Amino acid sequence: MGELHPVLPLLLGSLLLPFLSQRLRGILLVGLPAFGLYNLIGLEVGDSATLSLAGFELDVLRVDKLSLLFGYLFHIAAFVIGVYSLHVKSRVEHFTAMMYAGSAVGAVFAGDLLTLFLFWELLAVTSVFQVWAAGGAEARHAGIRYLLAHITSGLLLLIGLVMKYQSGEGWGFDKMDLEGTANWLIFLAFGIKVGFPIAHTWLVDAYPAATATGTLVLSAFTTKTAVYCLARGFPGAEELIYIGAAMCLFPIFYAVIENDLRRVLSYSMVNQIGFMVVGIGIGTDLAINGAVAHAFADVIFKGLLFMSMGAVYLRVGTTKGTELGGLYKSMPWTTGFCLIGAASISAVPLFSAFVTKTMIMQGAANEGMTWLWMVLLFASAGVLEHAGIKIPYFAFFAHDSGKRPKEAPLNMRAAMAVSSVLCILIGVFYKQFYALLPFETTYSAYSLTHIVTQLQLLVFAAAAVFGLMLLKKYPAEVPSVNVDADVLWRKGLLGIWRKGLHPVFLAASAVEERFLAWTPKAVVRLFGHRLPRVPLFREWAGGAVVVLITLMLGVYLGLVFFA
Amino acid sequence: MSHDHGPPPGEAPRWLDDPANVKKLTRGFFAVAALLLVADVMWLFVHKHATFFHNDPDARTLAQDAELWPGFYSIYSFVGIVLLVVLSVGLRKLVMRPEDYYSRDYADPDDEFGGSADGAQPGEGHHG
Repeated sequence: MGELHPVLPLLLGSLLLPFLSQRLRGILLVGLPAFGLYNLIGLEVGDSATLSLAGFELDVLRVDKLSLLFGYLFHIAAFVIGVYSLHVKSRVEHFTAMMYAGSAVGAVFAGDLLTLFLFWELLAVTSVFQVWAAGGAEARHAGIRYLLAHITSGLLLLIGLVMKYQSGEGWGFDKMDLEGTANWLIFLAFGIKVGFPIAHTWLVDAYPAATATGTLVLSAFTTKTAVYCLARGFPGAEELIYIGAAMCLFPIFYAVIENDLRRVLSYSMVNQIGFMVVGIGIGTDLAINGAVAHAFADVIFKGLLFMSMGAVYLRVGTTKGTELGGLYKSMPWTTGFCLIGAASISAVPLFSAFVTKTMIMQGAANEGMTWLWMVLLFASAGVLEHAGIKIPYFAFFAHDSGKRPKEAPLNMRAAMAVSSVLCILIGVFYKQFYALLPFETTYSAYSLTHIVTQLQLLVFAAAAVFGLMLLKKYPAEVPSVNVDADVLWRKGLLGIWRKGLHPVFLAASAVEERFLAWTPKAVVRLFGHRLPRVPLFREWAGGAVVVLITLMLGVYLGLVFFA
Repeated sequence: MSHDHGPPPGEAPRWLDDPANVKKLTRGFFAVAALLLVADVMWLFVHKHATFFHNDPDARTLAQDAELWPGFYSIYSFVGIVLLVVLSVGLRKLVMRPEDYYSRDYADPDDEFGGSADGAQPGEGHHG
């Protein structure tokens, strides 16, 4: 094959970033993904490579149409991210974002579960910096919670693959049945990363806490890698239909009442991934095609929406609906790009989701799954409500907030323009796009019936929203947070700590105090003013300790395994 | 709420600031909606392409037939959105909390570790 392993341009290239000036970093930020994509085009279906590591043969490269599609996608996303973050001063953000993109590429080309695991962990560790870089307690805490979810996911994957290896099945990464503990653990590991209900809170928690560019970076890779893994590992698993349907439904209710528009988009993301999960669960060629096609389109149109909100965040300092409105007057370009993203996610004919999401819905209809189709149809109307109308309306129109922020920087506008063009290209030249999908298809979304019915769906959903607004029945934006499943640990566990464990530690501290009083003066002098306090007793340490314990468990498991 | 702010004084009004123009847009929107409905009713006389495809027409269920009714998509999505918004308002009563609901648990938002150096928590009566 003669080409480089697809992970090398991004991963090795990223190592240079911390040492370069802003200008040189900029060249690499767009140059590395472009070169990587060129390198990727040289790969052919069937190419493979192995690597010997600590006595194990790792299948580090498996090229087929499925992995190639995600490979292309991640390089395009990395390119757009590169352009969008050209103005960013932080070396850490540039470096970790590129490494994060490289890990995602490594994960989709992984031919076995161990290779996948290594990139799975790298994804978690590199991505959290996009949250932490925002600074402040809010981001720090959200980052720790994010990391906890992803380390747990990695741990489940590790235990699963070790169990498979020891049972003699080997750790090949192929289609698995939902039978046996090992496969279930791997299923859950993918499920946490893809945002299964209840596990989804890491997403809606951390994404709005990231930097202006960080939310875009995060939205591109983690969940889509997990979508790829489900499509590879569990196509046709019936459970996914129900889980996916739930993911399509509940976020649209939260999206109506959420004030932070970046969080609205995060809920919207769970909803869109729900469509993909349903498609994978249906498992027919058409539905799988639809799922991965929609993943591809989603990275671009959701990225576009996140970029428009990132621009607003950069210029205004917030994306809360209550503090925005009327921004189209000073940010017309950003408004226009946001509207293209809104049309794409809402599946307006000629825009991307119209040719991708509808494949999934047709897949459901072909299997005679009427109730599922009805649910997806309802969810599609809901998408228009929150992503098609609410996002652009509250940010750029609605009541004039009096704010006149500067238009987004040139590089941001360029990145949004690239994504906008891609959204339309996919929607118009869908045949060329379908040729990249894993299965051959003759499907076309453009029948006259479909165009008219889809337009009806959208226009009358919009009519309902406008009608409710005129009648003043549409819920106004309110500065607030809405509790989600994470209240169980953010309040519940905290309560257990405060009411249960903390008093015990306080008592222990009292004993420690006594002990200190009793310690001979000479010893005290030796160790300074006081003996060192045990940091475990400090309340803030709660999160850090859990991260530490989970990490240690992982390392321990690894050691036992490799010994 | 901050929504009461208007444009800065002296700024020239935009096309959209004129209520007459907004009315024009609204009218156009409803014209499109009406046109779509008319197009759908026309289908009563010609072949409509069914999403649920069966070789045997008798195998279709009532729910699957529904998609062929004129105006089905319009009514389904209109009612769906009204239901969505009404239920969401109900959900809000259940889940809405003040903005500092979580952040007030942080011991000290500005501190590097979220807690002061000797572990004292405000209002916790921690030893110092």
